[in-house]
Amino acid sequence: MSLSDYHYEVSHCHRCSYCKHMPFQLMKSQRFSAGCPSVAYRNFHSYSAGGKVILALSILEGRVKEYTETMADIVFECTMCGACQVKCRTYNYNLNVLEVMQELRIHLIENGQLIPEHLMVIEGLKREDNVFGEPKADRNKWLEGLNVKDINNEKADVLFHPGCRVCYDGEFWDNARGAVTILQEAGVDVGTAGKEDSCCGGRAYEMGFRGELVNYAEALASRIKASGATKLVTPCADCYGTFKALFPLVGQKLDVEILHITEYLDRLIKEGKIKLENEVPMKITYHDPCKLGRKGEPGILWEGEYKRVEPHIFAAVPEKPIKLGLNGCYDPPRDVLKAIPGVELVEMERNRAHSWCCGSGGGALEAFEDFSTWTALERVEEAKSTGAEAMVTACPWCERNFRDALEENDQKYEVYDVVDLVRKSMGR
Amino acid sequence: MPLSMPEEAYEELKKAVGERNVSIEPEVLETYSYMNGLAQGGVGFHWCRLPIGVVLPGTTEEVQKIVGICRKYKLKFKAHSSAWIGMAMAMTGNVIILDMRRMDKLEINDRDGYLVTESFPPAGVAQIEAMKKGLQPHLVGAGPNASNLASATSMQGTGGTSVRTSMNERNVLAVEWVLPNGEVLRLGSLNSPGAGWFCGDGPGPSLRGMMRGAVGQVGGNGVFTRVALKLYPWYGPEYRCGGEPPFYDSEEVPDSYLRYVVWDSHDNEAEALYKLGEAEIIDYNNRWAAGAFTSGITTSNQEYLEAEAAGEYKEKFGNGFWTFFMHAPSERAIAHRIKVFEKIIADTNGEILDTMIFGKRSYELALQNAVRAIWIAKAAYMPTSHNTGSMPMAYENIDQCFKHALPISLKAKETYARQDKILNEGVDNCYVCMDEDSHYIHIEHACLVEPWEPEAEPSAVAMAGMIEALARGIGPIYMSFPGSPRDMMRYMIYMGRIQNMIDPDSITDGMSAISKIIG
Repeated sequence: MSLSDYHYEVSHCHRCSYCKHMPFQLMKSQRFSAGCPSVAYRNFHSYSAGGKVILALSILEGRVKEYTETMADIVFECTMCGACQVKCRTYNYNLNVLEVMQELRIHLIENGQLIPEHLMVIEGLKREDNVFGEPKADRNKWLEGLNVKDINNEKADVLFHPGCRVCYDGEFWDNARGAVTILQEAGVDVGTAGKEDSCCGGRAYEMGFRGELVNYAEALASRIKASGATKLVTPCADCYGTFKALFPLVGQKLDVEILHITEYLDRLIKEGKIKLENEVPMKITYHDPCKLGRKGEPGILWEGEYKRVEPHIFAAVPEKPIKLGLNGCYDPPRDVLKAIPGVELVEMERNRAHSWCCGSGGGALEAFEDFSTWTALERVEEAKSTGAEAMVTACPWCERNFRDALEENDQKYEVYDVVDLVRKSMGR
Repeated sequence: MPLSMPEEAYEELKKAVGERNVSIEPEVLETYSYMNGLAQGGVGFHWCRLPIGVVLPGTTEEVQKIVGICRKYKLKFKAHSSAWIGMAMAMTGNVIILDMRRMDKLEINDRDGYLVTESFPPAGVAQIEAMKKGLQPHLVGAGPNASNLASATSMQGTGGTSVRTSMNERNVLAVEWVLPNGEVLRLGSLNSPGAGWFCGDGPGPSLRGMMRGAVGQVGGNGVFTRVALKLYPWYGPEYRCGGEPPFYDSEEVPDSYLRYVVWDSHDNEAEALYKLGEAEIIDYNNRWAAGAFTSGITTSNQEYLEAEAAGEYKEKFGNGFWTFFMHAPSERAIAHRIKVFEKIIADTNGEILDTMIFGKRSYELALQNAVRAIWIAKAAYMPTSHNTGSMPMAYENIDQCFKHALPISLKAKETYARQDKILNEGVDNCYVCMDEDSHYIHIEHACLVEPWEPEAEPSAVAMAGMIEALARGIGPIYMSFPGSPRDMMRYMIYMGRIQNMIDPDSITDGMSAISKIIG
């Protein structure tokens, strides 16, 4: 698909602005009624999904002839959280705004309009196979001292994929090591990709670099095939969403069960293989990472076109999958938390498919730091408004962004990963 | 007159509202020149004039400064809130758009039963805050995404709740208004410091009529920055909904009654409306037909076509159907209303239908519309995403609408649907709602068109309706204010004079250019 394949869709925006708000059905207060971080931060219509759709139409109809920095800012100052997609698609089945926004990014890159900070990420990725440009040789430092199989040498039932953030951010090592140990103690046959482990390619794709996703998808598919693993488990929501939703879009469906660590822990807890015995007396609220929730909805490669099927009725032929954030991973992390003695779980107003983004996705963290921080602090405010003493999430990118935003603004609020609380309850 | 933003004006605007709140970037302006909505289908294209700048004021004082800068550099201006129709865009050259998103303050005064809203807050947002205090505002038919201030001060303000909450223009208690000369005019008790907001017109003559005329000047009168609006009782609890998109799961509203109703003839339908209005029992009402219902209940164009082919919606709702919602403070009160309702429907040969008639989806459509006015964005637009109105569009007494407006638009639609110039959705897809328990209703006819359709002639059907209406001596748009072409002219002259008085330098970019010229 290319941007021109979306000409029909982008000429069918209702301009209703539903993409900007929480669904009116679920809205509970004015304070947390916004649905789109980008337009809430910038305020110009241009930054909403609808605005970007208009921009795409303008490009396709030749009204805008130059690719400029302003255009790139409009397109890329967005976390690609996909909240707009759920709202818009509920009312308009001729338009898939998130797909349009993705193709717009790719189109800009193909036409030479690059975001310098993103280019640095891509160069580092090409060089070292991680989004930080850190030495590839350091990727497995987090594993030191653990006795885990290397799938390059022996078979394992579960391939554990840590993701770049975990591998290169020491704050997450204890957690990842803890997760692997818990799995092992529950009798799971775990392995990692050892020196072959690499990025999933998802963040590069969202920065507009489709080729990187294709390459990493192919590499991972080969590794899985060779390993004989039946499950791919990751503690990173970003990687999870990439495997589940993005790989199929570039024709790569992994022949393995894809599980987020919270899904697997939930299963093992329910099977009685993990016992959560220690009280963790905390009132907490859970933040749904976008790529675990609505963007964890399994992707389906659609190859078709809009055709005139009757006078005045054009339809996607074959029928296009409906993307409403259904079937994302919403309940397993909540069920794990509820299984911990002493934990009181309260919900934020914007939850599940309508969760407010942490601000770190879509290249926003790398190139639009102020926006990313503002978005994170908005979420922290929402968490605080529930009366919870801590916010728990299931993605190292979310956790990092929340913690950094709090620190940069001299604010204090506890942020945990689901695995942190599981470990507490297991006395680790 | 300059054709782009003068550099000095740009610098002054940046000083007035802050650099991040002004844009003259072509890519930003481009996104303020696209239009869809009821106007778009009629003209058949998406693009209107590019503004020369977009400004995001945050306070009334900033709005005053912007107006002052426009006057100084002879630039026009227009403000919008949600901008959900083409009229919100620039109509002429040298226009600065004031996007009012940053003016989002909202205050609910439950003791005296009113709200004060700045320009932006969507009606649906105001409603959830009001419901927490046992109150609710008017919801314009356009939907919860539309600003309450806009429908009260600048545009038509009718909707499904109008039967209880009136048309929004009649809920105005006080206004803060930046005039085209840059001065702030405060109507109502705002003119008396410390008096509060809740006096309808304040001492002296009413200015509300001059402020908006029959349907508002759509940005042609300056900028309305705050308005106090009357609230109505909501017997609680707050509306709650969960579940998954697209249809979600609403919690039941206690002491309420929600039904679909169909009649076997327009005469009986009209007769029932008179009686229901006189009985003063309805809290929400909305007429639509099979086309809008099919659009609302399906989730893809394929599903729409399958539903069309199955024909069951058309069979039941082909000649129109009503959604009625009643809500009362007690079990006894709702029981009484139900009795009255059922008698009226029986007396007029109507058929009451359970809203679950077509499953959970049809129930959710009915309830979410009745309480939150949510589904207009889908029901009025799918499956083509484009809707041209079919004239006449009327606000008149029930007989006038059913005996004149509806037949004319039905005839026009039938002719053009047969030739595939518009979508043949079963011809009758007429939207109607009663206002203020009265004998007056608002009527407008949805008319879907796909701009990619080679045979499409979106403007033809509107023209046909207009010509026929004029031939019969009635007004093609808002029958009540013109009454006849002669009366319409008199109205235009009158409004033009007011417009010339309010905006003698023609600095606003409203929809009132014709009336101003005539005036």
